[in-house]
Amino acid sequence: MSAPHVTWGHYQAMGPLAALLWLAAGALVYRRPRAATALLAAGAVLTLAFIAGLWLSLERPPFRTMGETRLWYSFFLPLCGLMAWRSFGHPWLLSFGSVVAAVFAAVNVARPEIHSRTLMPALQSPYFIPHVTLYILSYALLASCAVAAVLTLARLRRGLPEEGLLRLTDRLCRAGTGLLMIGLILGALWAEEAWGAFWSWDPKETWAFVTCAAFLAYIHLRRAGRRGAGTLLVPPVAFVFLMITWIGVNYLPTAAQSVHTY
Amino acid sequence: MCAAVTAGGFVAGAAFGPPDFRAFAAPLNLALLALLALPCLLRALFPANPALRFLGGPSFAAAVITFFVAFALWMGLVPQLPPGALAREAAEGAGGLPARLGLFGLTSSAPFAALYLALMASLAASTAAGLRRPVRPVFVLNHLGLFLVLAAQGLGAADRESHFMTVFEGRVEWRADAGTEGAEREDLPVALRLDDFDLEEYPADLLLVGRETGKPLPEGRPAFYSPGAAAGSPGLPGWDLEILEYLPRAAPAGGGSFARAVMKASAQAVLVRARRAGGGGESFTGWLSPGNAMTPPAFLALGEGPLLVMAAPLPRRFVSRVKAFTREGVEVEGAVEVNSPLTAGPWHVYQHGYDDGLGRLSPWSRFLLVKDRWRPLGRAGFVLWLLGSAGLALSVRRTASVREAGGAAPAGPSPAGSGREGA
Repeated sequence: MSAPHVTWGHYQAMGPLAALLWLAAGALVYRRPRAATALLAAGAVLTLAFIAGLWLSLERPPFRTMGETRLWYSFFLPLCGLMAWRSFGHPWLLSFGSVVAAVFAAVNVARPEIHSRTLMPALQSPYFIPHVTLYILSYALLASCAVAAVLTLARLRRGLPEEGLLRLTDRLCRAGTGLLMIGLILGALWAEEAWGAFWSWDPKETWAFVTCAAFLAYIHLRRAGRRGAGTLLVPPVAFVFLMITWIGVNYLPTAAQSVHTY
Repeated sequence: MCAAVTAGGFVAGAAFGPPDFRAFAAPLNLALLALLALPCLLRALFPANPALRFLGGPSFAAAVITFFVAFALWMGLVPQLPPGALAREAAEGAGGLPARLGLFGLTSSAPFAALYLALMASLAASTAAGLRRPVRPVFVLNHLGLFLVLAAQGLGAADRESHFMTVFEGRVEWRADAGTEGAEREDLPVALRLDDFDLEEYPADLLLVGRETGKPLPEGRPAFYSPGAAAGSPGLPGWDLEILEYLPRAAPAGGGSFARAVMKASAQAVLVRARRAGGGGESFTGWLSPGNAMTPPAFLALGEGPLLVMAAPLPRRFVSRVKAFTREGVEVEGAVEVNSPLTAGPWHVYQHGYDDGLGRLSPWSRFLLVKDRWRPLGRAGFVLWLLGSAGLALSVRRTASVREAGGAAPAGPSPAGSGREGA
């Protein structure tokens, strides 16, 4: 039996270091953008190295447990912040992504929740990696979308110009929802191969539907020309649904009916 | 309008109970599909018609989606009955008005069906709008793809057959049940012969259990140790462990030891040395095995302290080698496992389960057999929708580059009905 090289024990050092690099990047982005980019990239490389090592050690993709999905989220979030900042010119996006990623890294240091190499047969599928990766990537984009919507709403309330932030919210929503739908569709195709049905209204599926539909409602409301407070509240509310899908569903009365709880 | 559709559904539910979806089997569902596709044709012929513009417009779509969100929130919070159970409950008069309205089986209820049909009509009208020149491919792919998915999943459900079949090794079976408790078996036009069932296991984890309580330690948050853990890895609380030998297939060899033995009854076994952590030199060495139905388990008593045991192994994969026969004369032989179904004529055979208590020794295997003529349409819809979703995500990049190149501001939505981007 081959011996693992990287364990969650290594994250006790790598996690805090990555978090510090991201926090520094988030603080420096307003005055020293190049240094911020370098620090953020260093944190991401460190995390990616840990993920790769863990993948090899576990002899399976590290997507199975809550701790493992948090790890990917903390990896993607600063990168999404970086890309969104470079594309749309809002440095706070990088700060937001960095701070939330640091929080997730801290949670993983305290509660990694991963000890096993096992991967149940249903998870041994080519759909597994793209399904989870795209979901987590979309979660990162939609978190930024929710914050952008709240900031837009705040400016709207104060009578300040909000056009730029509104556009940003729309773009983040379209990108995040597009990826979320790809993840959902891959999940449906996978479920059909594993269990003979594309969709079975399992509680996790139901909440994934709620999340996706809520963001789609925002997209359609914006296409209808709506830009008031009611419309701008949709992304943050949808993000609450997203968090229930990801984490909260395990604690609901319906969780006992789910094959997706972990 | 959405409120009226939903209210109408609730009134119909209260009056007649949940609809019997089996009544919508072909050709009725095909006629309904043609009717639902009609808005697409009408919108193409009469693009200026205000009713059709409204039906395919973003305001109506947003309203339908919002109602669906409300329904799904209810389903996500209140445990729902399995499919079919709602109709049975309502038919038996149990559950009262909530059962008739479908509150505990919402996807089988009249208001859900009414909203579902309204969404399909909206998608059909939207697709026609997207096909007008200049054609919006992302828009069309998303709306047409979802329309096909809903058609296959909703209208096609009445034609879909699914049965559960339990087959013993070496025997042929043609009877199956509906998978519900107490369901009677019925003859199918397809039979399965189970030639072999095999199960591969992961190395079973080691753990400590209380000598008096029998509960895993520490209680409430038990710790596990994998036989594959690297030398020097943290052991179990209070103990350092060293794996001296691991045998995936072994049998008792007398005197508490195990030897490699590949046979039906063999079980995992591991030779381990446990040392009390923090010095002191106290150590214990012995064989552990989780055992199985034919081999007794083996554990190691750590002095007066806890017992060191192996947990029940988890399955890595399980495979059934079968031969399928259909009444039409199709004969297919192959392996069925999770994520890898077998196709025999119109039937798809999925691995469903085995005797969990016996694990690898299970004498039978259970399969799900599905016959779904709408499956290709559903898959085609998902593929179109997948491409549309990718286009939606990538459209952000495209619109950003247009802005940087000095093009017209593309990101904000256009006034109602005239938007050329997005979903």
